Amino acid sequence: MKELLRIRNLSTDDTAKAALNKFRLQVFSGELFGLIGLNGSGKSTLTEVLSGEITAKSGQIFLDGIRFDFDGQKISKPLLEKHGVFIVKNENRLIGNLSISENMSILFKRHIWDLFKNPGNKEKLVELTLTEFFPMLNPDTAASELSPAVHWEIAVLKAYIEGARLILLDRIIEFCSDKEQRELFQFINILRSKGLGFVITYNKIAPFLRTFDRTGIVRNGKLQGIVHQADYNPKLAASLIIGGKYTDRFSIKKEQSAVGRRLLEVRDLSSSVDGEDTDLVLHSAEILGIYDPVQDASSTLMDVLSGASPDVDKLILVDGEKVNITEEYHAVRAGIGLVSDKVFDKLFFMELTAGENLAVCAARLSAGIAGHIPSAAEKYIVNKYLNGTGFPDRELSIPVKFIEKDLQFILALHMRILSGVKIFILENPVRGADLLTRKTVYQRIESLRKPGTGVIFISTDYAELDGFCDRIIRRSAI
Amino acid sequence: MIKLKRLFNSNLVLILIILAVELILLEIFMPNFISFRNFITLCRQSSITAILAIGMGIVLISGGIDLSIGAIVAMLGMAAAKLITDFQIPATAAGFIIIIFGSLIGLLNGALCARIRIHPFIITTALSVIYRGTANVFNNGRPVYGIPENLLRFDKKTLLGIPYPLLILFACILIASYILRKTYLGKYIYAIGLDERTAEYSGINAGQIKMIVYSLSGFFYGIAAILLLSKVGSAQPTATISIELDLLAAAAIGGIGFRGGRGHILNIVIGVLIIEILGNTLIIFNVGEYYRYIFKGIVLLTALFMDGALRQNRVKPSKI
Repeated sequence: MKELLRIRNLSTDDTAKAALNKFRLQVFSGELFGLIGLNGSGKSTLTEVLSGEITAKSGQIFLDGIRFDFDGQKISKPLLEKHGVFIVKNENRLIGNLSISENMSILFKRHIWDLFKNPGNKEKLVELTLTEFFPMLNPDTAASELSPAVHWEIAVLKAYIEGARLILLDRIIEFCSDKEQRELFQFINILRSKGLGFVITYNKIAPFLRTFDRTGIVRNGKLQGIVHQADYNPKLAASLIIGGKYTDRFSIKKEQSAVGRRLLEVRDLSSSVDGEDTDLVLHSAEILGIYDPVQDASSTLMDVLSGASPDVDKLILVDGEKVNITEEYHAVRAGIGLVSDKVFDKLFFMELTAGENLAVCAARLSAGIAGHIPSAAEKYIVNKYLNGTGFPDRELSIPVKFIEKDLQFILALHMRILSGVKIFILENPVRGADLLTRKTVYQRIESLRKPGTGVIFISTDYAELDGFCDRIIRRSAI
Repeated sequence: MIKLKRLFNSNLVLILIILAVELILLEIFMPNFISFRNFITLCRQSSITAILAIGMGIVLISGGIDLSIGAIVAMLGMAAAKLITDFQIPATAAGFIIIIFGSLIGLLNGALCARIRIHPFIITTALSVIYRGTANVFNNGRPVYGIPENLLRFDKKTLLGIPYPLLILFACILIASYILRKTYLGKYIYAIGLDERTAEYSGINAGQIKMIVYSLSGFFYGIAAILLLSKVGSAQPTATISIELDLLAAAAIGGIGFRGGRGHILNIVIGVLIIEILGNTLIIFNVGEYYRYIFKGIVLLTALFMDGALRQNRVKPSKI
């Protein structure tokens, strides 16, 4: 096997707390290499260094055996691509209003004299390649209609056409559903048979890791160890990732709660999927799971509760009283808090810190006569409140847009709590979160199991719901 | 230490430096310029613009913009003069009526901006034409004279050496700062300025807040209109034409910017002072009126550029 990429002593900083600290890695052709670690362990920093977004303070990179020294400069992406190393990131998207074949045909490097040539010839080549790898995909489909997983697959295909020999997939698998993961791995295996190597980053333990040739465990910016396929053991990998003993999510105790009063009722909801009127009831102190692998029925429910579909027939009762939701702000006013991965960007004021975000949400409840907010109340919310919930200190003083998505979720939950919300509707809240964060999030959701509060947890992962939901209903039952 | 850093990152230090440089230059070319008396005179001169700037500042913080200020003030001034001269309403009562009228006009602006999903820039420009037209209709395009003596004297009156307009300005700053910083309405104004949709998802009725914001700014326009009437002694339908440029420049210097969700009312008032001193300096150096416009435009552009540069430096990711 030929060596494709070797990284030696790569550091982003001189201190021991550097995001990458004397990082080393060696990848061979045709290899499937997993890079596993918790969020913030340094996986994404590596891809950011390799794609030239972050400066490498020191270290060496060997491409095709040629040594490149880094001493405080950025790595040039074209250099890496010249040696066949391509990076496909979570942010990779096609241009929405162009079709797939148009998107792919613009990747070919053109000379100025090519401007007057017919681009159709290239598009034919692209269409042929597309039919070879994705026979089910129509090349004329607009990119905006595709799921993110297809965007990433096309990005991998683009890299292959451009002559990639090693492709690094960063933060992709964790955002794919099970079906998408299977499709992606099928495609990866086809490309591997053609001699391509893959480095895949992931933040959890999953069955597919068994199929990886080697799995590197990253912790605190260092490669802690490499597990070969034959020696792979999930418990060992989990312990290496955390750096201590791991207890899994089933350790969270599920308490059998008595059916309390009816907190939320959604009646006569005409689902756009099957055209039937459906009902939904949430009791007090209950965590209700909705298993929705195709995310159709739950999106109708979310649209109705967020005021996005005011025309859909429905009857919503909160604590037995009818509420009318036609605008976004009606939901919170009615005591319903939505935390969905689809509108995640709209849950926070990205420029503000976590405390300031909370202060906005708590403003109405903490205000006294004539809307006056006492300074002490505001100081408590901004400085103390989150600290008391175990939010890391270092994340308190930076704008929310820079904090980890998992922490953002916890923040979103507390923002809703401070807004006076009693009913929490969480849609795929931990999609893409690592195993430790998942546990924290589950515990946080578990803490909402108290009289007068209820949670609806919508997920595409049945096992996740099975962990701690009191009732689970399937898509067709809503 | 963090507080010190934050202070240096804020616009306040920058604008105070600009103000200091301006004053030093003036002191060099015009000895004895810096005196308490001169300062009070300057503040008195700029108090009307500063009160308008407070109104504009609140709108800008909420993420909107109001380009109908000049026209509203002219219209309110004409209405006040008509009430006093034609209907023989006492000046004090007319003042209160005009302030309430100003708030209602603001409410109308706000309602239109909240309901019609077009940028307030366009809506308020269209409204400004209507208001300016209405100002002309009041007296067939002619100014209204005959303002009673007690209203004219109001501008000259002082309390402990401080002119009444300046005291009113202080009161306006206090009211606006209190609302913005210490009430939940203020938090919501900043919130809708930062991101309207996020605010809606947090349970804030953005449309309602916008109406309150424009109405609040209308309240300040009403006060400014009465002060202007008292200062000038007559109501002119062409009054305060293109004052929006000065206000926008003051807002940019004061770091309120045009994206909304940030800034402080005191800064915009200092911004007005800077613009006023600059204007005075240009007059002292005999710079022609047309050149002064060019200069103001350059100041606005520079302020925007500096504001943008500062904004980029201020937020640094501390992520890995």
